[in-house]
Amino acid sequence: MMIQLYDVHKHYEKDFSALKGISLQIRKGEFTFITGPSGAGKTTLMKLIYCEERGDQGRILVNGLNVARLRNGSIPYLRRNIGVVFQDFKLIRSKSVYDNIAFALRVTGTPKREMKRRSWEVLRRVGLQHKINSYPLRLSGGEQQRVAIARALVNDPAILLADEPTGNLDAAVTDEIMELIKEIHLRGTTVLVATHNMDIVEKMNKRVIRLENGKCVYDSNPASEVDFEEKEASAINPSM
Amino acid sequence: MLFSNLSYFIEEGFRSVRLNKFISAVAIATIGFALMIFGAFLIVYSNVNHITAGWVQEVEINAYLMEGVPPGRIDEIKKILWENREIATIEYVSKEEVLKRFRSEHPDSVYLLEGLADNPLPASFEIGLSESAQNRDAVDRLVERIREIPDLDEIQYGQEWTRSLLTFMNILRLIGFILGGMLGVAIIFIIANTVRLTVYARRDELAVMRLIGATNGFIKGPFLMEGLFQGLLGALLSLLFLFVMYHFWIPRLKQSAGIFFLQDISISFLSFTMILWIVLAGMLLGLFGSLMSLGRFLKI
Repeated sequence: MMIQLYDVHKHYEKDFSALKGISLQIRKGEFTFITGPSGAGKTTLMKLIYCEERGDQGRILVNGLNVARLRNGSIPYLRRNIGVVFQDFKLIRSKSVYDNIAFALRVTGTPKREMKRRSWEVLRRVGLQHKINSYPLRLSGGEQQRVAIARALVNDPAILLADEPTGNLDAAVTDEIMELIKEIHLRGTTVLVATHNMDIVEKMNKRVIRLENGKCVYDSNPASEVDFEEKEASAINPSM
Repeated sequence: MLFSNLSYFIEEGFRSVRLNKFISAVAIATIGFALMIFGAFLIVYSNVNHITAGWVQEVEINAYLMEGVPPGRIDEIKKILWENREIATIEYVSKEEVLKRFRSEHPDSVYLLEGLADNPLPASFEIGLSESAQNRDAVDRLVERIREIPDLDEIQYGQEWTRSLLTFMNILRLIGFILGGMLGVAIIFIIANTVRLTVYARRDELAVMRLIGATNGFIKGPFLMEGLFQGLLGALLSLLFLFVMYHFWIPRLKQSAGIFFLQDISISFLSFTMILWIVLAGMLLGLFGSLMSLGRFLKI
């Protein structure tokens, strides 16, 4: 099991609960869509996984590691194993495409030569090696999202989280980006995509978890008993 | 890794100063001005201290003998005086000797003595102090003991003016501490505010840094460097100001002082150690200022 949530609650304000007792398991190497209307809790769920928010109640295991109990100082190390992609790309405008990507390696203390090699390689994977010296605002939305994906992948994470990755893109570009994410999944990365765009969900034919009002109302392919046994094993030996 | 991070921090710190040219320039100029005030004070203090240190060291005690003390008693008193460890030299100056000195030192005033039958000038002991006794309390205690010796009339030592001088120096030092403290706090706030503005301007970037797993230390590094640079540049600027002012004003001041005693006194610039201290103070205050504003801004 890669991601496991048990009875997870999150309140933002006294009378507003974003998540009300979510339990779900995502297998290693699985491709899962989280769907639901705006405000259903999709983004909150993502944030809890990469510790941008901390849950109020319940257990969240990421590759066997209980992130709900993670010390603040350990969070950066968790995040280096989780690539995150957003609707608004979140690129640094004052840095070139190369610097944006290499930055994710720099924070981990990667040597310069290695940094160059891996940034180049990941840029080639997303098909943007010719834009290496461009600045984000000179790129189209689709290209910016490719750079963001490249940045999320450059540390070779076990998990890719994508929060409405195509929210700002037109239909043709959306297909391209989804193709790219599918390719990443085929290489063994566990992928979690939050979206309210049912077209792409239907096209991809993957597991779908539907949230409504902070509750899980539908799961097309829940984890089986066999998976639970696997979970126990990975909890004993929580190696990333 | 530490080394490559450090070079990255320095690079980014510079970049940040460059990107926020105006804010940085204002901060550096303000720090420069604040440190200049402090530096100017240091120049005044160190010079006054240097000039007066010589005066204080020249403190000598004069113990005057009563009239008609027999010569045998003089040696006895001398012996008693020697029992005090603070005393380094004792010179007996007889009435005749005093008169001779008076005549040679004040030839114009000799007429004052002419009408007198006897020599009115008293004999005295001129007592020089050992170095360990060159402080106010030691001198006061010694004088108390000398006062108790019979046959001595009046004891004179630079008491009043040394005392005022020492008090004056103490006040000057106190002013220095207060001034330094206030300017230090001001500098910390200036840097804290500047760094806060740059942090605010780069908040999106910080969010991205956190997202890709940068540790807090890594995120803070460039901002600490920025504060350090601003402090350093401010300190260098203040030294430049001071140096220019020193070379421009001191000769003019001396000229216009005219007959005043300033003419004979050489006024020196800050010593090398003081320069180092100002630079170090600027850097440390800068570092501390940015640390202060980052604490509140950076949370995972």
